[in-house]
Amino acid sequence: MKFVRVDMSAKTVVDQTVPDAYRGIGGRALTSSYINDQVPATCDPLGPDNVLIFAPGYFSGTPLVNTSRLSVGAKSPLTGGIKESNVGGTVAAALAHLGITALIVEGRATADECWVLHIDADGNAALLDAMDHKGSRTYALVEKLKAAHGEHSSITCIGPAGEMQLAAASIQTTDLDGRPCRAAGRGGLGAVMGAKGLKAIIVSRGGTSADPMVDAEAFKAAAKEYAKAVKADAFSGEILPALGSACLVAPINEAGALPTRNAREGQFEGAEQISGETMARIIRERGGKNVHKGCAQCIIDCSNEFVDPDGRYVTSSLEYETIWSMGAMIGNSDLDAIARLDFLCDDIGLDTISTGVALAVTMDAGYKPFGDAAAAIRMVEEVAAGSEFGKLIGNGPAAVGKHFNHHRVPVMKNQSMAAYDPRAIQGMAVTYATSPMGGDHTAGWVVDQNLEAFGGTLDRFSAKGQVEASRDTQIHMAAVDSVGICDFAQTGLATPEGIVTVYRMVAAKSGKPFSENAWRELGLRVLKAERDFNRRAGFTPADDRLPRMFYEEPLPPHNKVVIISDADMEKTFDF
Amino acid sequence: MTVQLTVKLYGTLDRWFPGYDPNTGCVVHMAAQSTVADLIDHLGVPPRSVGIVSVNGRAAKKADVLPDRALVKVFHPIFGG
Repeated sequence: MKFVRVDMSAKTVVDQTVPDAYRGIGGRALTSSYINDQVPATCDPLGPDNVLIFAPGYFSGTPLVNTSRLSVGAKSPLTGGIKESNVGGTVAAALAHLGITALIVEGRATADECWVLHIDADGNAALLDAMDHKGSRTYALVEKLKAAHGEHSSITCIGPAGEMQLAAASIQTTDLDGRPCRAAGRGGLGAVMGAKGLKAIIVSRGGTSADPMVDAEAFKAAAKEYAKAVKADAFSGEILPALGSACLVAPINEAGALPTRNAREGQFEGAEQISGETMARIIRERGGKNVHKGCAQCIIDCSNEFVDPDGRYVTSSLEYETIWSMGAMIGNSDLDAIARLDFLCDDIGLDTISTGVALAVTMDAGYKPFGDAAAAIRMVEEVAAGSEFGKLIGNGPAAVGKHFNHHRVPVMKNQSMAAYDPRAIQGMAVTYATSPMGGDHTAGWVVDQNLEAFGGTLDRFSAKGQVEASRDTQIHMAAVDSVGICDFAQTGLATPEGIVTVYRMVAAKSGKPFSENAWRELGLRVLKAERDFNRRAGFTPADDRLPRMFYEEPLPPHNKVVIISDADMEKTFDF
Repeated sequence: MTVQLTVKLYGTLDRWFPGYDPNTGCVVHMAAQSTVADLIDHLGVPPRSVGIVSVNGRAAKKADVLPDRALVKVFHPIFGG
C-alpha cells in the first residue's frame, strides 16, 4: 500500500506510505480526489504544476474477475478541466500486485529529454534514459522494451502524438499479448505524459505484494458469486464474446442514433457492412480471433484480433466506438480501412474517438469528401509526420473546426461526443453536457433505459426522467470506476443481489461496513471533487450545454432535436 | 387474413434457427393484427434474449401491430458503453 512519486524535474523516485486522506479508495475516486486537492486548477495542463496520476481500481489485484482497470488522472489539455481516463489491459493488475496504490508523476523534464520508468518485481522503481526511443511509435517501442526488460512486463506508453503534446493524444497500454492496443484515450492525457518527458512505464507482472484483505474468505465467496453472474448473463456471457462491443452497431443504427457524416443523420446506409455480425464473420473467415482475451483476469473475452485477407494481424481490438468514429461518422463502410485507422491511432498514440470526429469535421467543412477512407488514412499519418495539418488533426475536432471556421463541431467542453446521438436519446444529451469529463458516453450511459425492453422504460424523445436517469447513472459510474470493475462486467451488479455482492467485497477488503448509502456517497465524492476542480478552473453552468447543432438541426430519420432545457441541465447536480 | 414478415436476427439470436441466412433473413406468416410480442412468442426466442425490435426501421413496442410485408429486426439486449 504505497504511492510511488516520480519527480520529472529532479529525476527522483520515492516511495511514500499512502496518506490517510487517500486510504481505502482506488481508481477514479483516488485520481479525482488527488488532482482536486493537489493540482492548481488554473495551471497549464502541459506545465510542471500538473500531476499525472495512475491508480488501479480498489478491486484491482484481488481475485475478482474483470478488475484490471486503471484510472489515469490529470488536468486535461483538451477540456481544461479534470480528467479521469480509464483503461484495461494488464497494468492495473500488475501495479496492484506490487502493492502500488498509485503512481504519481510530477514536475517536467526539459524538452530535449526522454525517460522511461521501470518498476521491477519487488516494486522498486527507477527512471532510465530513453533518448533512443524518442519519436517511436508504440508497437515498435514495446517490442524494444520487452526485449530489454522481459516479455512478462506490462508497458504503458505514448506515441509521437503524446510527445508532440497534442490534445487528442492517448496513453496506450499492453494487452495480454503484449501489444499496445488498449487506450486511455479520452482527454489528451498522452500529451501530459509527453510534456513530462515520460515515454513509457514498464511494470513487472511478477508482483506478489497485493494489499492484504481483512476477510479474504468472505471476499472470495462474493467474488465467486459475482463471476457466476457475469458468465450467466446473456450479454456478457454470450453476445460480447461472439461479437465484442461491435454488437452495438446494428441496434444503435436501427434506433436512428448512430451519428453519421458528422452527425448529419442518425442512420448509416453502410451499417450492415461494418456491423458486429459482419466483423465477426470476416474475422472468422480470415482466420483471425473472435473471443479474444484482452485484459488480465477477464472472463468475458470481448476483444478480437482483426486480420487482413491474408490472415495477417491488423489490429486489436476493433470496438464499437472506433467502428463508429472511423466508419459512420466519416461515411466510411470499409471495415478494412477502419481497422487500419484503429491500428494507426494505437501506433501513433491517438484517441480513436476524437481523431475520427476530427476527420469528420474536416469532411463536413469540405476539405475531403465523406467516405474517402484513403484520405482519412493519409490525414492520420500526417499526425505522426508532425506536419502542421497533422497537428491540427491530433488536437481534436474543436481545433479542426476553428481552423476551417466551421461550426458543426460535436464537442462538449471541447471533447467529442461518442457513438450515441443525443437527439435520438435525450438522456445522452444530459450526460454529454453535464459530465465533468466533457463529451463522454461511459460517464453516464443511459442508452439501455431509452431503448431496451422493447422501446425503453423512458421515452427517448421526451425530457421526462432523463435528468434523473443521467444523474443516478453518473453517480453509479463514478463508483464503478473507483472500484475498478470493467463496464461490461457490470452485468454482475445489475440485479439487487449483484450490487450487494459488490458491497460485501468492499467490506471484506476494508473490514468496514459498506452499504448502498456508502456506494452512493463514493460516487458523489468523486463528482463533487471533479465539479469543484472544474469550477475553480473557470467552468460555469453555461459550459454544461451542447453545441447549437443539437438544439437546431433535426436528426433524420426521426427528425428530433435536443429538448432538455438549460434549467433542467442545471438540475443534474442538485445534490 | 395473414401478414407476411421478413425477420432478421442479430447478435447470437440466429442460434435458435439452424440454417438461418443473415443475408436474406427468414419469412414468417402471422395472423393479421399480430403484435411484436406475438411474433417473439411465435419465433420461440426467450423474451429475455430480446432487447430491441424494429419494424420498418423504427424501434417498436411490444404491443405494436405488425403491418403486412414488414421488415422486422430483432436485437439482443444491450449493456455497457
